Amino acid sequence: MKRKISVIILCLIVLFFFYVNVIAQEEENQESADTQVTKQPVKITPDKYFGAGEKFYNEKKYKEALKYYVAAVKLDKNYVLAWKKIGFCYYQLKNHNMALKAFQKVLSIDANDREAKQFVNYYNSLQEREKKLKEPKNMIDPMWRAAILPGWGQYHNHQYMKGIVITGAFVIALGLTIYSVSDEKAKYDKYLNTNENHDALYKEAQDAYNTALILGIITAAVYAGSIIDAAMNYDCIEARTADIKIIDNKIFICTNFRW
Amino acid sequence: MKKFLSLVFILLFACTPLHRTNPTDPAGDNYCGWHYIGEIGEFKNLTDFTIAGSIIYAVDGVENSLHLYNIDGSFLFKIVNPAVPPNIFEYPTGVVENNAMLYVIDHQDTLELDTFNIPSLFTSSPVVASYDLQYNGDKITELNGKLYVASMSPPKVYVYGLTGGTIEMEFSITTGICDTCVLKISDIIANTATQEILIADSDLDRVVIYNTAGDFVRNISIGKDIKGIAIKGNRLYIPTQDGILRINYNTGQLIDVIANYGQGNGRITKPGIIRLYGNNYILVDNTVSIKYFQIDSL
Repeated sequence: MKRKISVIILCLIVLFFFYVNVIAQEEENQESADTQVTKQPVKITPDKYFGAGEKFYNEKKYKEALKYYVAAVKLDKNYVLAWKKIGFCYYQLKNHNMALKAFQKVLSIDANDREAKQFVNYYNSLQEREKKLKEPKNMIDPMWRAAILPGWGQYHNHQYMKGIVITGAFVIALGLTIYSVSDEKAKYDKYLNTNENHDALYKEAQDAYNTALILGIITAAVYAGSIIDAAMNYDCIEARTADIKIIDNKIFICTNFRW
Repeated sequence: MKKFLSLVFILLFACTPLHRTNPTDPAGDNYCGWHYIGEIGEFKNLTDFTIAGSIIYAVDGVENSLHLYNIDGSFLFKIVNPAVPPNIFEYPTGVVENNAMLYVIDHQDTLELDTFNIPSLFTSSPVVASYDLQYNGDKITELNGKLYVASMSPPKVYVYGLTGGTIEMEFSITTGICDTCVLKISDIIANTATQEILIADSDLDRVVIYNTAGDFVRNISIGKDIKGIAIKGNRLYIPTQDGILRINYNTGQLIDVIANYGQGNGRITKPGIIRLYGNNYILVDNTVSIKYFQIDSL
């Protein structure tokens, strides 16, 4: 009896190992088949990647779109459209440096590409302005400008409204002063050359002189005030900063008007 | 407070006067010693005037009238011909005052010398008398109770009594071009200090001096057209288009020129008769008015 049981157990063990072996063999075969499938070369064109990128771009998923555009240019390094899209994606992601590089690549492929040109030019000017804005301000710069033309110093400090008013006031005051001085000179000459009515003519000349003097003082005050104001505001908020805004895919530099 | 001080400073600075440097301005720093005061009268053709007291007596040769003005220029009245003849004036050309009497000569056929009692002119019954002269004259002066009447051309000087009539004496005037000659008389005055008669010759451009006997003494060459002469002390005043020349009477040397500066009425343009008033005033005939100048010292 013991012997029969032992044989049965042995048979069961043998069957078990056989089954396990068969299963393992099947799995192994299956894996082998899978491996053979992936190893086969699959032909995906740059356009397919570009199309996939476009799908994400239209959904405004710029990061995802960027991957496919990059994949496209990896397959075709002269794929202009993909490079431009890379530029736009970086632009939308506000990585302007990378956007610039992408558009520069576009220009290296097609030097006449209008959009790439526009962006590069605009970006260069933007960089220049930003650079200027970040430059340390010098008090002498607005001062000598204000000394040459009152109001110019204020323009230099980005205080445009103040500059316009000061320039206008100076031009008007200077014009009136010049007119008054010539009027005073004419009246004084008339007094000097007359041989009658001395008192009346002298009074006219004196009045004209007083008018010219007052206007001259006003002109000088505007002139001096412009220089002093330009010096005092050389490092004001307007002189140092400018707002950069992006509206409808266009970049604007806006300055604040302030008294 | 600061604003107020600034304003005061500006106003004070602004009120700094200009320099009064007109040489004819009495208030000027460089006053030349004479200046123009203004014009007196309105005439159609002023032919002669004289000053007595503080009254100016002027005759108008076109209007045939005698105008009286105060020395300040205010008009008093004028005497014109009556509406019904006989006329008083017929082209009057000379007037002189002596001892409260005014003598006017004109160009009527008779009764060429009109005399006016000056005080009576200011009453309701003026005393006017007319006398004959032997010859018509153009200019008249008085010295020592004698009337010296000059005819312009041919140049003659006749001496009358104060009521005209016959000639008491005639100057020995040589007509022509020579040192002692006279061509055309434009004015005659008396120098009471030297007892001489001075004649302005507008053709030979010189002043000719005669003594009361009618003899030539000397002449002073001016070189410019002379319409009138006046004398004060040792200074002879002669109006010309270049101004009033002030000349040393003894030497004939030019001292200075008056009324020759600048633009305006204070410059004589049509000089004629010249008369002096007091120690500081010069009056010059300008045909239609009398120009009035003040001078520091005549």
